[in-house]
Amino acid sequence: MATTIPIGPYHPLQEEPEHYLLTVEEEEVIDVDVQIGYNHRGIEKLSEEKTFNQVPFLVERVCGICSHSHPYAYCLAVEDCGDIEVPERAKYIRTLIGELERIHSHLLWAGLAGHFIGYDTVFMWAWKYREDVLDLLELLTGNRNAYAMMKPGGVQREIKREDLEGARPTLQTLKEKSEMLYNAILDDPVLKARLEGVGVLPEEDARAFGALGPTSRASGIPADARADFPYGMYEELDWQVITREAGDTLARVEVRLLETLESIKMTEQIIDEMPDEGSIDSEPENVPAGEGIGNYEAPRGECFHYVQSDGSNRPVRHKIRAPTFMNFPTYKSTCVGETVADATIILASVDPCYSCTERAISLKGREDVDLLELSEKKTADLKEELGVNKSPLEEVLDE
Amino acid sequence: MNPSTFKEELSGRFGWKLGKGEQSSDRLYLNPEPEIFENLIEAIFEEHDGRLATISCVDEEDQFRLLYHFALDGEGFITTVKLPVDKDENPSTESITNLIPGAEWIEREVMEMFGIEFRNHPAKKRLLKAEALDDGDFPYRKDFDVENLEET
Amino acid sequence: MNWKSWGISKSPWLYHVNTGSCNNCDIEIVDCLTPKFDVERFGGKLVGSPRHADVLMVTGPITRKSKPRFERVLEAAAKPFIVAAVGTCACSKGMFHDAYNCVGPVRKVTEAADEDIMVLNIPGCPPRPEAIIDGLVTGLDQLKEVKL
Repeated sequence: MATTIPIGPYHPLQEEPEHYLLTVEEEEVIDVDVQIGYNHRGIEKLSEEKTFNQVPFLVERVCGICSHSHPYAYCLAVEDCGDIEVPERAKYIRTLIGELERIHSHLLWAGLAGHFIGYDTVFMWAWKYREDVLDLLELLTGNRNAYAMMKPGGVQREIKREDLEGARPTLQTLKEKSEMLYNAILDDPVLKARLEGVGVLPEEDARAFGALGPTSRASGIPADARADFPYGMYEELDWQVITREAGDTLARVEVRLLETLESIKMTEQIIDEMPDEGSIDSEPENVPAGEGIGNYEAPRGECFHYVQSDGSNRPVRHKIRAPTFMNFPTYKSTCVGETVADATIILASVDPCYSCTERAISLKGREDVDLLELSEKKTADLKEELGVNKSPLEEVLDE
Repeated sequence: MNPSTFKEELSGRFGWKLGKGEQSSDRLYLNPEPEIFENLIEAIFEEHDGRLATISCVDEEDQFRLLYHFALDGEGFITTVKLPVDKDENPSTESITNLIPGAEWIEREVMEMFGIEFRNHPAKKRLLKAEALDDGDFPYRKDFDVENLEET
Repeated sequence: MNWKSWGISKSPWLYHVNTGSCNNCDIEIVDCLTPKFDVERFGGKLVGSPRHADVLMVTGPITRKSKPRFERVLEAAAKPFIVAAVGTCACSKGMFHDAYNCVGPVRKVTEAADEDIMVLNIPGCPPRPEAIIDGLVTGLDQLKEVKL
């Protein structure tokens, strides 16, 4: 007999209000229905009342975690509409902040994913290392989130060379810690058992639903706006699009963690290559009548903005499409047929901008370094027993 | 492939009915005759692996215009198919959800925010709009009266 | 100070209500729990039900759809309790002042529900975790002079 389990809108596992109706037959999920709109503030409508230079501050508040992505996509749309050139130095700064944002967003997600399956150690670790990125962003932009760096035609603020150099040690630590996290997660037999083969999104379904970002890349679609529609400095940087064929939750975890490492690599290159002198703003006078499209690869997938201008100082129409809007409906393919216990992690594995605030255990009375060492030692012992020598990351790098 | 070769290929099939439209190195806008609209969408989605990015609706003075944005990821450009919808009592157009499942939420959003009905849509229910608003309130229309909106 | 306010000020249990915020404040509230800030040092703890809560951490400008739900949370919460409006949206609607779908700010809704609910404003976009902790500590200190 089918039973319906209502979840939300205010539920301890969710950070944002959403309402799910899981229809289950014993342990198996047979249908999912979702009600959203609790966070609908009407930004598209509000945007039509703001001037072109005010809108970036508004769209920064579409999502607090992607607070660089939406302004960037909007600026790309306005620049497409008005054929506005952006100085090279401004492009470097934009790319730098964008990649740092990706690191913090992916670490945030890794932590929450750990929490969803009851592995709070991962949650605490990931969020602890994430603080380093936030400190770095504060050093470079002045705020932990909502950086207010974007404007059509350039960036708002300068970044000094000494600040950039000051970022290097943090990036180095971050790299070590992310590698550690990657190995810790992929080495763990329990996590593997919980994630492997769970919530599979086949490639044809990913295409049909128009899935984006890590969700589609984990299903073997090599689509990435940074590579397909090059903006910023991505053409100049040495990086690669990470894809996996499996399409399961483990693959989505893997893609995000490896992307974190790619982003750290890119950030270091930007620090090396960024010129110290030069303009950061082309100061466009006005936006001519016309229309423009901007698509930006946010941590969760492509952000899509469409701007129409009639030659005045305000957009006539500003359409915003966030990545989760396309990624979330894939639950119809991934969730149905799985068990209730797996439903949370599957719904969370598209990184739907919701998270949890609950039941966090703090590691009181112990130095976490000791814990870390103990855990690494245990893994090493286990591996010796099994006769495996390489860490998962080394295996990936060997390929 | 680039926008001009892509357009040539399409006009080989649809002829003058493809209509005129602007194009640049990475954008292509098409204004097709409504009668070929569905075949055109099908050709872009199925034969050219176009990914439906979103549907933007623009409230122009005398009509609505739906903009179907397709991203051709491998080719690196975006093509936008424009479809005018008459602004009468019940503006409506054909749903494409049966062809592209990913359009379901997008069409639902346009339905409740602009009041354009998508015929044969599988789930005509609210997605975003609050219960406190009437079925006849369409917030994203230009003539929507924000000032006199009740608080609850 | 009566025994009720004394009770709340010692170890505030927090319940988090998002009424349409952009996630920033929510993430910063969760940040308060993680190793760097560790709000549990002060006895603060996030709980899963408003019935267990002493302080409701409210974020967002209160959208039309979340307003009735928020009112139900206010009804369900064990009295007495404090409402902490975290972030500029919750304090004054901030950027969303003219948005058609926002009916806040928090104080307006709590006053309509019950005039005696004490509202603590923690502004910032988003407020830093230090600011959230500081705001809570300052607010709870004030309880010494208030009767709930």
